[in-house]
Amino acid sequence: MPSLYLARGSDGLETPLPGSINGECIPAACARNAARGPGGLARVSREHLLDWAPDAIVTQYAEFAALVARDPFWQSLPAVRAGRFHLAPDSPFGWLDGPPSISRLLGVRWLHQRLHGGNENIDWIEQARDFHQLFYGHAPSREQLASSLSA
Amino acid sequence: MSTTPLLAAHALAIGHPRRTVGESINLQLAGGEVLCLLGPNGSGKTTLFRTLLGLLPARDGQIEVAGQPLARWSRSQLASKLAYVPQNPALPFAFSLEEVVLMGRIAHGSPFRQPSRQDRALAAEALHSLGIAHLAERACTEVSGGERQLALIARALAQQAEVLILDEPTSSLDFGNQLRVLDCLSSLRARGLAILLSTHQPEHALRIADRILFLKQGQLIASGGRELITPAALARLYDSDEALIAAGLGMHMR
Amino acid sequence: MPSSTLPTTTRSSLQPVLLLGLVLLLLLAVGGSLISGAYPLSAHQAWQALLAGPTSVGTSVDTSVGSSLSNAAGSELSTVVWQLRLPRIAAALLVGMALATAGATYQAMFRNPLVSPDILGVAAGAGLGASFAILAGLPLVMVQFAAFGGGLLAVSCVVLVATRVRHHDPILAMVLAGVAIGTLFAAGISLVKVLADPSVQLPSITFWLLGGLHAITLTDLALVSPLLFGALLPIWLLRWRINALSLSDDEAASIGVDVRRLRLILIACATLMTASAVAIAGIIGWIGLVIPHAARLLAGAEFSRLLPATLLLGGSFLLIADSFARSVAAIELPLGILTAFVGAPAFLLLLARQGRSA
Repeated sequence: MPSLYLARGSDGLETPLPGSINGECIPAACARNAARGPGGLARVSREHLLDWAPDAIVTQYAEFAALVARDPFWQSLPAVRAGRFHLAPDSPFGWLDGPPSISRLLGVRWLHQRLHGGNENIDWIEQARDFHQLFYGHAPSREQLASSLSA
Repeated sequence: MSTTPLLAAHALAIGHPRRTVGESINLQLAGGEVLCLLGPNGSGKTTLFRTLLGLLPARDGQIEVAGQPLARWSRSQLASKLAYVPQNPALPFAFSLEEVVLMGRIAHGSPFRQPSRQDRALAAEALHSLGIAHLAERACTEVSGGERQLALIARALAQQAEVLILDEPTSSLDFGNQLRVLDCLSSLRARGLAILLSTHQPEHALRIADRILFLKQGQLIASGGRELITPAALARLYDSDEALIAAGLGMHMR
Repeated sequence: MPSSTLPTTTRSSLQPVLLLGLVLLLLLAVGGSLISGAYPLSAHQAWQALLAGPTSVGTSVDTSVGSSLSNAAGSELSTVVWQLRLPRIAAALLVGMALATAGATYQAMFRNPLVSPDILGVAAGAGLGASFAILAGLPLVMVQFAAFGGGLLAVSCVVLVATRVRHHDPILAMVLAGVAIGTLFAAGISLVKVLADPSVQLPSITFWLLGGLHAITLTDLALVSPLLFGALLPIWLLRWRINALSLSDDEAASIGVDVRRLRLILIACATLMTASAVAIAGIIGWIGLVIPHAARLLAGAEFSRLLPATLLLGGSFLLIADSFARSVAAIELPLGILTAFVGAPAFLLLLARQGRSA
């Protein structure tokens, strides 16, 4: 089971600990939370990232993704070097967290595919439209979803 | 003795922004003399002193220090002419007596400097001349009230000021310490300093004053030498019974 | 005559010894901090990494295809020491020094050994600025600027109000205005918390307010160091003159010191230092209150002796607290909580001991 670090906040140093409601998507996607310790949300330092050495990193924060792209420290992490850094969609609601809602039913499938591979040809925009039509009775347009899913 | 008085006030009106406390006050002080101010509580003694020192703006009249108007003096220049020993100074921290006296040297020179050897020598000399050199390293919170008062006088000396203004310097001291402070002021007069002090005890004025002023409700009602201290005059000053005053004075008359 | 504190005679002759002792404490704290942290690092490895010097992160491993494990590991050790721990140590020292100095300065100015740098509301203002910025979803750098600006704004309001008040003692006016404005800004923080999105923004705000050095970068240090040192310099140069502020306004003026101007300069410097420290570290309390007090017990109240002791003790203390914050549990303990747990009981102890005066 790969270890996954779920990064929150614009510096990515906030994370849900194992057992926290914000991190429920991780075991649901057949992964292990890289963070260790009891509790809910926690602040960690970059030393923790080096120590835990997660196999993959996922975030919903575009600002953090931009930081990762340009900061030498984050670039040096094994997960980032191996191309296993993922920016999760957050439109119309967070797919993994922020808030931890039913959109996770969609997001966990997305995350699972990212982590474990599988059908590369899934049209996630279409999946999202179907999902929202089923649960909300309204499907956002392709344009509305496109920018969030461009990562 | 110089001809220009070190400190002079003409037709001085004193008070606070909303209230006049005294007016038409004239006084002069020259080197080598002690001027004693007597007056009941609330007569304006402290207000007068603060105005003379430039700590409170005068409502009217002129004040001259060494012949120059008060307004022409900068704070630091004034500190080398006038020194103030206030009533009941607060002691939030336990400075040593030497540190207290050294503070008198702060304004002499650049604001960014540390005490020089000369500063320390002057402070030591001031402590020595007041007989408290052996207490230099003691905390000011651990010495007696009289010794603390002497330290404040030493600070005024360290300022190398020519005029000492003391606001009731003996009011909270025991008898022994009172005499000690008075003797000290006498010897400072002998060194040529001008001394202005206020007191509640006429016998102190009799002991050391060259000239005496009576201040009542902000007015100078009498001025003269020691002959001013009579039961009748004091009764008028303190609004009291003449016989009572005479009896009180008699206990202290030699 | 029995004394509750070290006799002054002993104090002045012990001053060089005291400073030497405090410097040693600082060096020990630095050494201890180098080997504390989540990443396992032995003293030997730390020493090797220090000797090797700072190498750029990552590039040494990219170029060579068959890079040995030791090369990658060595680069990681170097990263931990040079990129993560040393900047954090420097930040802890700077923030500790800044807060302790600001506290000592305010205590001298307000003639009260129980005053904290937040008396004029700088922490509340910084907290509000940061909270607003997080609420508005601004990038991290803007949050720091907002915190800095908020702190300055709060103190400016207090000083402005206090200078308008004519019929009270100026010190009392400032304290009262500080309490009022501090409370106002704290209420603002509560309002922001109510309006914030509870799953995303509220945790960010809460964590920021609790304080911590885990996210310190070299950029933070580069921005804040000139401000901190620039504000410390006038306080250092004026360290003898500051003693005059502990006298009454009348006495200080009579010995030749322009009290109002000196107070304004010192408030500006202390506020700059505190606002800069809070901008990068969040709200860390009790350092500014307890450290100068402890330094005063060791070195005496005279400010030119108090200041070096305060600087050294403040830096060491925060560094030790930070080392603790990142090694005692699996995740980071907020620094503000730690300093409160240590500082508040220490404060109560000092209060109880202080029978007459310190």
